[in-house]
Amino acid sequence: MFINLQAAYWVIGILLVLMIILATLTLSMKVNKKRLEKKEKKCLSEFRSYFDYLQLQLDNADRLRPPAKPLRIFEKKVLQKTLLQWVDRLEGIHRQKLLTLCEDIGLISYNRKRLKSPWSIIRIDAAYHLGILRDSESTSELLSMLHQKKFEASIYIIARSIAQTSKDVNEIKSLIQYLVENGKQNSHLIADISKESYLDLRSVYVDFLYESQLELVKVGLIGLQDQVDYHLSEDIHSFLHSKDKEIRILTAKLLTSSMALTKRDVQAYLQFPDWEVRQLFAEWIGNSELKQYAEYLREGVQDLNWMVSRSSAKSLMQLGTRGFEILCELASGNDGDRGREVANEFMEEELKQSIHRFSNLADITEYNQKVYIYQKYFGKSHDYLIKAT
Amino acid sequence: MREILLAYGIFAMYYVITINTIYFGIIMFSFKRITGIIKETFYSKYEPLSGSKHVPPISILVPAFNEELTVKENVRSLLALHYPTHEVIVVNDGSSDDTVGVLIDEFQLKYYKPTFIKDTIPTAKVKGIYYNPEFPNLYLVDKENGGKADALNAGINLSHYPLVSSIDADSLLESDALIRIARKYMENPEEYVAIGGNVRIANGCEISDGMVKKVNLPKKLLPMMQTVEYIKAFLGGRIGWSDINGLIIVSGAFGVFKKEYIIKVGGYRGGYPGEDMNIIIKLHRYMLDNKLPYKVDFCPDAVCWTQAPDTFKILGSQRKRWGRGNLKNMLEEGMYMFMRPRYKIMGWLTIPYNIIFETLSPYFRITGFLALVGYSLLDMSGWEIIATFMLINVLYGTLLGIGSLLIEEMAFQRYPRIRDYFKMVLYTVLMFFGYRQLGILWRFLGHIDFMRKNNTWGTMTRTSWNDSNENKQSA
Repeated sequence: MFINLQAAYWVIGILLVLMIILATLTLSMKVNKKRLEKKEKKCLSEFRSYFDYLQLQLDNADRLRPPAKPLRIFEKKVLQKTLLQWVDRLEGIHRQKLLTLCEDIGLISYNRKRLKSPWSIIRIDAAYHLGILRDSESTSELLSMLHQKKFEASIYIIARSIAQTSKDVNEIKSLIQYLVENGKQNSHLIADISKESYLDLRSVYVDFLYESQLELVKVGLIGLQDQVDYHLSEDIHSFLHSKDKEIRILTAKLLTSSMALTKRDVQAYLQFPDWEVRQLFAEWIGNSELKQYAEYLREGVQDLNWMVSRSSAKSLMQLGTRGFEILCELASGNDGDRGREVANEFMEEELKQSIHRFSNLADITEYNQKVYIYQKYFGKSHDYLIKAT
Repeated sequence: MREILLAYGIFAMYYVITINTIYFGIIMFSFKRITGIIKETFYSKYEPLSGSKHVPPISILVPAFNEELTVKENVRSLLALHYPTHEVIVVNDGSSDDTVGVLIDEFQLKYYKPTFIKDTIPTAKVKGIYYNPEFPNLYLVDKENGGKADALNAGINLSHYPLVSSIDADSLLESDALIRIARKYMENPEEYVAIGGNVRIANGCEISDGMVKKVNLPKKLLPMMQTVEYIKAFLGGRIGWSDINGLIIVSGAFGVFKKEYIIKVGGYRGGYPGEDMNIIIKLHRYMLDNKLPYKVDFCPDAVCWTQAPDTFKILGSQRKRWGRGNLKNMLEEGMYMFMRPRYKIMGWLTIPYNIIFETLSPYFRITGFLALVGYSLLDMSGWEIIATFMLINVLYGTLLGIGSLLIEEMAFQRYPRIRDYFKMVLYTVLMFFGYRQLGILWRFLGHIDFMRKNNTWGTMTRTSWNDSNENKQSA
């Protein structure tokens, strides 16, 4: 057995030194943080009247004045913290006024300088703040920072800042392409980042639909979901035949959000091979109260997939008396046993809920109609007495 | 005889030094990753994400067994999470108390026949589902007792979303915990199969409306020991293990999983504790067997607060359960992966480390200790050697604890007071004088329970969050 006491004493010495170093580091960080907090508190109290002035003047047309005295770096940082919180919360003219003030105070030039720091954490901090400051002149530098950096989680912080600052649709397009090519199938995160841009990205999203790279197609499909006034081209339907399941589901989502569907389309998609697509369309019919499609949901309730079956029944509940009658027909077993139990459960639930929903005469009338339909299939029930209209 | 005892005692001490050295290496990986974590923690935008429709929906599964005292606050806090689309599925696992009644009263839930729960994974009989359309994202599953794993499987069967999150009914999530894990998941949705959250000790904290309002260190001895123990295990250990994709456990208290793969590996394993470690080993094995790219990660800024046992009896039961679970997992799964190249880091490092330095550690440590006691009874001429080695082990362990506290300070700063730091360092040292040894003994007793096929849950009592709060205020 190797035993060398001299070496063991050395180990003890090294361990003690390391412990002292780590403890000193931790304590100095704590003390420094306390000191900065105290300093920040004092600084904020000095700026209290200035913040009052800003809040009062925010609605006026005049440009906001920076503080009268020259600001030290620490004071700039404290101001930045508060002002950028406001910028994040406000929109339109108020935000613009604050952004102009931030520029006048020198926050943009301060962060641009920090973007050149040798320390990566400071560069990220600067990139983050320049993004909130919507500094379009930093975009090219942010882009080169993005390309120089190893692809890791902080890339998305820089990417968000680029989306916030860029004034050029092509820059956003190349940003998305870069993220798709280097990232790992994270189309939802990339689409979310692109939404930080105030630019109209419809053309970018449409271009992506015709790309060979599936992830770009996905970003396009996700991005277009928010474009309510955008008229979809007919060939969008072809994506429902894609080999990639997520593309099929995203296409279904896009189609339901655009409402650009014919009766034949709806009927076909309610019988689509992917249950997720069938469920999406079943839910959409109920949520959009599209009574004309009530009959198509009959098959949905009988679907072998329980999620589709329940979504279809729930949608029928939302489609007034016709939807309710279909539930009664299914529950009575007229269409066979499949879906009967689900239909029965939702039918009972609808009657129970309707009693608590009375707010006007129309509600009472609708309830009575439903009770009448119910009794037509199941005979009289004392649980559901017809109210006097 | 004297020489043999001394030699074995020294061997056991080298064994502990080796454990500490491996842990030191793991902490180095944690430090390597810490700047990235700081950037993610401070500069990722969570507010817009929590309102974004691009965030994946998550089903939160809450297995509950005799949780009437804490379940109400827990569910309330889960419903109030800042997350775009989520559902909360509480699974009552045949509680003998009024867990079901408390939830029915609180949320006015109504009974439904369990027609809409599928049997994707077989479970004990489900008696009914409780639901109220006023709380459209809350479900209560009432089932016969089958254990925590069985309850989680029942929750998976009912869940509507592709991601599931398991949360203990005695734990509280921070309002942005789920969105922080989801952001991580969104970076690499194809490869992430499981992401664990950071579990912290809530004893001593001020809690109201199911949320931790003010963070304090526990006042009692045992929860305080567990606070420093958890910081070391989660920040010092799991960040490092996840950096090399060798994480063997995602705490049952809070983790997010891809449902598709949980189903593919047959769901959670019932019958024994340690189902949280078991599911992660099975996921590693499945992905490596099928040569699929994957990652099991840890998200330290997604925080879950939990009640730590504050009596020796309850803590002993918990640690014995952990010991039993660990042994079962190593015998059931670990042996197949041990030193097999196809299992990469898991086969070469994680599993061997767990078998040699976790599962077998009570045997080496207890026999080593007994050898030293025997030696000192025979002759104490080598006392200087023993004292030196013991001191090295205490200092090495303390160094690892202090390193973990530095990580805590760099990235999270949950305990900003300077006196809290000194208190934590003090308890980091104190751990080596009784608490550690007890832990080893409990683990050994857990192994004996396993051999005797004693599979009871042991002592487990819950305190209401309000009670613990009141106790704190009156203290």
